[in-house]
Amino acid sequence: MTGLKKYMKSALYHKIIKFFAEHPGSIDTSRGIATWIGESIPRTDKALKELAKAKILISHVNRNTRAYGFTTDKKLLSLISVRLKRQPDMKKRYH
Amino acid sequence: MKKETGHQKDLFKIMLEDENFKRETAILTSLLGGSNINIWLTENGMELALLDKRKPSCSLIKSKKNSLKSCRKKIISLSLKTRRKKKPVCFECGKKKHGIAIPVVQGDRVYGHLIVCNAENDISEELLDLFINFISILIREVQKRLELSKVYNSIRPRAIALSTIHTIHRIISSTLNIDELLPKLARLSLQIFRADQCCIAIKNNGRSRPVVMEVAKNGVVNKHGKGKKWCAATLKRERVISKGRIVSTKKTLCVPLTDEDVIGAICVKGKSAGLHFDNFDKEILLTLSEQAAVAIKNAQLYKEQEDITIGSIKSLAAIMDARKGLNYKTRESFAKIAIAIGKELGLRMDRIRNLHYAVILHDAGQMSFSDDLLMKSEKLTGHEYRIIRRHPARSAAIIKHIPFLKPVVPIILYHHENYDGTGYPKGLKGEQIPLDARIMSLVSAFGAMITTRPYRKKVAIDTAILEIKKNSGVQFDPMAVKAFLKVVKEPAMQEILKKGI
Repeated sequence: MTGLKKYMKSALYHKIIKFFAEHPGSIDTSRGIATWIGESIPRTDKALKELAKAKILISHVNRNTRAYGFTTDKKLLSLISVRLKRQPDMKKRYH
Repeated sequence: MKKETGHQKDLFKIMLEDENFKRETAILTSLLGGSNINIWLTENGMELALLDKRKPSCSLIKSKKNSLKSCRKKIISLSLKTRRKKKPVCFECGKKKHGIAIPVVQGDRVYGHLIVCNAENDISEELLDLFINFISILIREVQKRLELSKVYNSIRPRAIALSTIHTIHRIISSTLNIDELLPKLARLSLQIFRADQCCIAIKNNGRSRPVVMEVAKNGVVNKHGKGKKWCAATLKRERVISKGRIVSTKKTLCVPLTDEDVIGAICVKGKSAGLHFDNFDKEILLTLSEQAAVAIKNAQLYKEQEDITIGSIKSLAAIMDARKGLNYKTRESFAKIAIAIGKELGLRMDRIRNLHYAVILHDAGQMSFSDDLLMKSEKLTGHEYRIIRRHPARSAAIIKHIPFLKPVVPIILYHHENYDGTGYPKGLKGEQIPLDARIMSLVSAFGAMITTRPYRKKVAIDTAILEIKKNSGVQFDPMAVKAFLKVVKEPAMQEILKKGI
């Protein structure tokens, strides 16, 4: 559907998706999200852009700010919830 | 065996994972005689769990059917007994094994018990003291960890929410266009509150009803949707705007937008996944509304200022056009062509707006020319032509004093430059000429062709289009010509040209 299965195999993408699933109302910049998940900003920024492209995240763009929020697509949300239940945590493994 | 609960889980975790406690637990159990010791934990005298989740190593349990049940019963009754006394109790079980039940006390409260059984040796006073000391250290450690996790669990969501509010502030405060700001604000609200609907109503000065902007779940702005009625009715019924009241129910949150006075209201309805709005949501919406009110007020002030500026520009253009025998409507038609070309070429809104101003003001410098020169029907002399060629620089010099119009200056200054470098004032070539000025050059030339001038009659629109096409890559930028040809073909544009000229 959105490559969710592929993303969930990466520790970084998994962490981001899990963060948004736990805080669905959160809207933050890549710097903010990198802080919350304890990852580096450039790597997080790249992953966020990718997830926004896959419509798992929604990006809110302004002149100087690009912020990300969680998808509102019910179907996708339930798919994410199922995947997270099946795979709640992940060992560090980057692709 | 029942599932571990709060304290049990933490106590067990520490006893099993923390190296110091693991060592001490091993020493204490060895003092009691061997490795067959069972350590139980009860919580509030009800829940019972066994450390390490092993099966109890007890010959009594192994030998008799249902003895685990009776053992559990005995341990729970022991824990209830010690709960009242708040003191450790030594006991002997059916197999003549020794045991001890130590209450886990914190302040006045007994949270549960640590029960050690199946000991070979009798439990001495010294050993009891050691156990009590061990338990008190264990409890302090658990308490510390619980406090830390409590802080983490309560502070982290608030910090994340605060960061969200800060991000929203950054997004909305940099938008000064009210038509962009309101849908953006509504979409962001939907996202933060995971709501089905959001509406923003703005007080309309001079009118009784506020302007309601409604946004549907999928983020599409829908000013005329069903939600509009709901929003207007709620705001009126609850007097959110008239009295500045807050509506906070499980399904709806409505707060006034206040900046000195109430300027409007923001409402969210229907939290997704069957959840309800809570006080935390209310707090967040209140904070958001404060920021939104400031952003809306700023956008309104900016719009007012812009309207004044545009009004002045239009008046100036009307004066110029009256001298040249044109009417303002004509100029607005050309502005529409320029805007359409700009959009076709993917220019940003601010650049399109500047292009609009440039079309209106590009001949402002001609104000300084005499009527004789402007209205001359014969061929211009060399000297007169040199004067005329100065008008882009003069126009630019007039408008450069208005800070708001600074980005328009290069468009006006270079609108008589030709793509092949044969234009004036600087003889710039190709991409040296700003794209906006290349568009302006085309629109200005097209405008000149299809309107009557004192020195020549106007040509037909189709002829003018052909002329533009012929000069693609010579006088005009091919990219701008391509966009122009696409734009003028559209029926709406044909209509504008017919009506405007």
